[in-house]
Amino acid sequence: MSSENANEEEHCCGSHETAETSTQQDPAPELLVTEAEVKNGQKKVKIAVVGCSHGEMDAIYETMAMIEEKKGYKFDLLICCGDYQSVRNYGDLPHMSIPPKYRSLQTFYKYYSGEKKAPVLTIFIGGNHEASGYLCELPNGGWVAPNIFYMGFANCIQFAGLRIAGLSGIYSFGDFEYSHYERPAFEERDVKSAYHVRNVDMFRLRQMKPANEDKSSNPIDIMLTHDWPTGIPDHGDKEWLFRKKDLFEADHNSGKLGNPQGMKLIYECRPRYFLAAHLHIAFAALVPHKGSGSNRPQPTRFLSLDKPIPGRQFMQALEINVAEDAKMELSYDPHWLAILKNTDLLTVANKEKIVLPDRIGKEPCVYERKDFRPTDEELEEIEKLGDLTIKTDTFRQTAPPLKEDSSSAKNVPPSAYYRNPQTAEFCQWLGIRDLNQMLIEKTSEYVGIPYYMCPQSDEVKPNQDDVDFGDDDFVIDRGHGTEEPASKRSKIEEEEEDQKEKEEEQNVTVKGEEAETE
Amino acid sequence: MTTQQAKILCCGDVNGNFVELIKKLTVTEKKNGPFDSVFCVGEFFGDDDEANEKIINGVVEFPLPTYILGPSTPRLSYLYPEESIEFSSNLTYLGKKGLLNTASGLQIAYLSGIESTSNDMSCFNKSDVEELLIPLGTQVGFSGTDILLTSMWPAEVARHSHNQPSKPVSGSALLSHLAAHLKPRYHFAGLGVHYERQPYRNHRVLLEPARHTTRFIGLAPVGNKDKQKWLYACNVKPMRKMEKEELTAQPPNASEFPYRELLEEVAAKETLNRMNGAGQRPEGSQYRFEMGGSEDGVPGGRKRHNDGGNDGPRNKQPVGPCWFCLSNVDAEKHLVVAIGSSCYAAMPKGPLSDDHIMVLSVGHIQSQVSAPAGVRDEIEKFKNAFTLMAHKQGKALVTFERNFRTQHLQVQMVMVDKSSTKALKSSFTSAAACAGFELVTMGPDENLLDMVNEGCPYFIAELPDGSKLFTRNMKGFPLQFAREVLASTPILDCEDKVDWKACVLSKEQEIELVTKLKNEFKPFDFTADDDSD
Repeated sequence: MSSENANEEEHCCGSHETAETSTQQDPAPELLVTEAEVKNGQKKVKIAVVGCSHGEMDAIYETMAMIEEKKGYKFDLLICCGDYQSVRNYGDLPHMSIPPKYRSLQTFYKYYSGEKKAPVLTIFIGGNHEASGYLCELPNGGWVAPNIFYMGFANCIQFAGLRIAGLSGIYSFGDFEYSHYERPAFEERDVKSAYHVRNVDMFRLRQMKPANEDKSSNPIDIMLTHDWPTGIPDHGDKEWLFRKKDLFEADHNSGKLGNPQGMKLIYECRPRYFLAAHLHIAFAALVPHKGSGSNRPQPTRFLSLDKPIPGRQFMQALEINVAEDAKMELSYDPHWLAILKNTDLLTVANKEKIVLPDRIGKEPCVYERKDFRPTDEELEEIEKLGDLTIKTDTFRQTAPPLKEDSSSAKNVPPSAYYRNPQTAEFCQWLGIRDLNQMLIEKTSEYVGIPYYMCPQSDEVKPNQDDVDFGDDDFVIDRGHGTEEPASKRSKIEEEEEDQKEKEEEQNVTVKGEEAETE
Repeated sequence: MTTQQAKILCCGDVNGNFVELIKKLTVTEKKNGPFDSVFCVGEFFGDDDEANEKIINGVVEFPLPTYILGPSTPRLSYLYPEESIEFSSNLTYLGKKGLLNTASGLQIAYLSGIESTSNDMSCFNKSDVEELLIPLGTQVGFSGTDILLTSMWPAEVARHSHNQPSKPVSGSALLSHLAAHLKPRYHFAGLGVHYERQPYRNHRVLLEPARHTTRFIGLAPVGNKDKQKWLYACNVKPMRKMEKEELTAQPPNASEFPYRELLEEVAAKETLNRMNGAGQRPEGSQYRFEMGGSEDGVPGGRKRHNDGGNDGPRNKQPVGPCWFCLSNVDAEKHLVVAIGSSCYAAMPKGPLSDDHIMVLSVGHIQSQVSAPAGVRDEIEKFKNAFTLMAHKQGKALVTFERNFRTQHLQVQMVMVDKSSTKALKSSFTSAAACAGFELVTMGPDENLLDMVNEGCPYFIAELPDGSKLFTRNMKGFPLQFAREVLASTPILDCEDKVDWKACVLSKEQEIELVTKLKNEFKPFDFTADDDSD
C-alpha cells in the first residue's frame, strides 16, 4: 500500500515468526523510525502497536522478541487496539459477542493465571470481541493481568510523558446515548450493546482539547479507538482501499464506515498519532489541521493495522522522542482525572439516555455548565492527590484463574460479576462515582466473591443454582494439534451482522502458513 | 414498498385504553395483516398518568408502526414535546400539524386539537390551518391529499348526506375549510361517534371537471360501551400512482359537497368585518377564505394551470408577511447584495462567515423543486458567479437548500477555504449518521427534480467538487444541520455560530459586510446589465 501523504508510515511491518516464510507479496518486514528527527542522543520510547489482538498474546510477544533480537533493542510499550479478548477462563466466553462455535480460549488466560508474564508493559482498549464481563469490572481501567493494563471505556493516561487517550468499543447509533448499564449476566442484547461506544465517553475525551484557544499544539500524542473514524479514507489512498475491500466504498459514502463522531475527536484533540483496528486491513492516512506556519499543529497520522495472522501487517513500531528524564511507567493524566471528577454526574448505572451538556435540545442535562475542560482550580484539586503514577501491584484475580486447559475446565457456568478492588480504590482515591459498585448494587444476582478473597477455592461458584448451559454451548473450535504456536491459532470468524467487518478473504481455516495465499 | 396499495388502520380516541388497543391491533395484524401502520385520531392518552408516562418513556411496545396526534385537552399537553417525536420504535407523535409522506407513497395531512383561540397545545386556530395549507399552495397541479387526520370533526360534515351520525357531534368550521382545500380522499376524525358518511364530491356536477370524492369517517373511542366501531382498515392506493379516470371515478352513492354553505357564510362574514374595519386590512391576508369564483381549491374555483411557465398559482402570498419575499424585506433591505430578474442575493441574519450568502426567489416560491425553470436558472447563475468570486479568494463554494420548515425558497452559499474541502463530504455524511439519517450521494445524471415530489421536504448540499448530497428523510433532521457541519473545526471552525441567533450582527456591522460583499461581487455581477433600477 502506499499513500502519498502518509508514506512515512508505510513501511514497517512486523509479522510474527512465520512472516519470513509466508510473505511473498509484501515488502520485507522492516522496522523504520517514524519520527523524522533521528537525532543522536535524543531519548526515544519504542512502542509496538498491534491492531486486533484476538487473544494471540503468545504470538504477539514472540514477534516482538524476534524484532528485538533482530534490531538489538527493547520495546518499552505494547499498544493493542481492541479485540484483545482478555478471557480469564471458559466462564468468560459466553460474555464475548461471538458465535459459540468460534468461542476460543486463546492465550490470555496464561497471563491472568500467572503461568506467563507479559514481557513488555502492555496497554489495550476494548473492541467488539471482548470478555465484556471482565472489562466492565474496570470501567475506569486497570490491570487485567500483571503488566497488562486495560484503558477502560475511555481514558487518558501518560507513558514516558506521552499522553495516550483511548476509547473502547465500536459505534452503534442506537446505543450511543445510553449509560453503561450492562453487566453479567448479560441479558439478550446486552452482550452486544456492552461494547458499543457511548456519547458520554466521547464527550469526556473531547474535553481534553486545550482550555485556552490554543490551536497550534497537539494536546494528545496517541489516541486509540477500535473502529475507524468515518471519513478517514478521504485522507489516505482510498482508491487502493476500496480496491482491496470493495464493500467499504458504499459505507464510506454514506458515513457508515466506522464512528461518525471519530473525526471530531481527531479535529478537536489533534492527536499526533491515531491508531485503530477493526477492519482487518493495514491503512494509513494523514489528517492536516488548521493553522499556518509555526502555529500549525502536527498533522494526525492515522494508522490501522491488520489482524495477527501470518503475512499481514499487524504490527507497527513507533519511536517517539521523549524527555531525557521520562519514566517508562504509566501514570494518570491530571486533566483526565479532573474531567472524570467534573463530569461525575454523567456516570449512571441504570439504563437511561444521558443528555450531554453540549447537546442543543429540550431535555435538560444534569449540568448547566457546557464546557468541562478543567479549570485551574480543578487542576489544583488534582495536584493535591499527589503522585499520579499508576501502581503496578494492584492487580487481583477476581474470577478463578484457569490453571490448566482441560476438557473439564470447559464445563463451567458463565462467569459471575465481581467487585474489582482496583476500581474501588481508584474511585475512592479520586472521589468519583464507582460504576463497578453501582452495577453490583443493581442486583445481587450473578455477583461472585472475588477469587483473591478466597483463593483456596478453585471452583467457580456464582451464587446461582441452575445453570442452563449445556455442552453444546461450549463447542470450541480450536483446530487440532498443539505442538507449534502457529497451529494453535484457532480462527475467529466475525459473523456478526451489526458490524462492518466485511471480509472478502476466505480465511475459514488457518493452519499455519499455507492458508495465506491471497 | 413496491406494492401499489398501502394497507393502513385508523383508530378512534384511545383515551388511555392502551391494553385494549394493543390487543386488538395484534389480533387484527395477525388475522388481516400485515398493515403498514396505524393512525390514531382523537385523544390518545387517558386519565392514568402512570400509564401515560409508560407510553412516553417508550416502555410499551406497539405491534405495528403507530402514529398519534397531539392532545385535545390542556391537561394532557404536558405529555407532548413541541415537535414530533418517537416515543418508542413503533410509536410516533406526528406533531401538532403537518404533512407526512409515507414510504408507500401516501400523503397524509394532520391537525391535532380542538378549534380555539387559546395558545395551548391542545388547540388550533386559523393560522395553524393556514400554515398547513401553504405548502400545498405552491404545488403545481395540487389535486388533493390521500388522507386527512384531525382530532375533532369538521362542522357540517353530515349536510347533504343520506346517512346521519347517531348523535350530533360538534365540529370545527376551520376544519371544514381545511378539508375543503386539502380534498383528502379519506378524512378520519375522533372525539365523536362512529360515522361513515357517504362519499362527497369535491366538484360541482356539470360545472366543473370531475374530481375524486372524499370519505369522511368518524371513529368511536376505543372500547366504547355502545360497541361502536373504533378501528377502520383500508387499502389506499396513493393518488399520485393513480390514473385520472381511476381517481375520479364517482361512487354511485356520492353526495353533494357538504361545506359550501358554511364556507360561503364564513366568507361573507369576513368581508363584512373587513368593510366595518374602516379599510384596515385584517391581520393575515384572507386569501384562503375568499369564496369568490377566483380562488381555486374550493369547488367553484378556477382550475389550476399546470404549465409551469410563469408565475400564477406558484406565487401565492403566504399568510402574514413572509420575511423573504422581496416585497417584504423593507426593514432588512440593507442585507440585499444583488437583485436579478427573479432571484435576489442577500446576506443572512447571523452569517457563518463574512461571505455567507442566500439566494432567494423574488416572489413567494417554496423551494427549488417548485420553482419555474427561470428561477432555477438564475439560481445557477448566482451559484456560478459566487463560485468565481470564491475562487478569486482561494476559496470554494458550498451551497445547500433545506426545504423543511421553510416557506420561501432559499439556497445558501458559503465559501470555505480550499484546504478544507477534503473534509467536507465526510463531515456532512458523518454528521448525518450521528443524527440518524443518511445523506445519499446523487449520481452525476441525477436531478433534484426527479428525486423529490413537489411539496415534499428535502435537504440538498452541493460541494465544490460538484457532488450533491441529498436526503428527503427529515426525521430527526436538525434544523441547523448544514450550519453545524460548516461551522465545525475542520471547515470554518466557528462552532459558536451554529445557531444564527447567537451571532446576529448589529445593523452597522451588517451594512459594512454587505458593502464589502457588494464590492467583491461587482466583477461577477450578471444582474447589473438587466437591472437599471
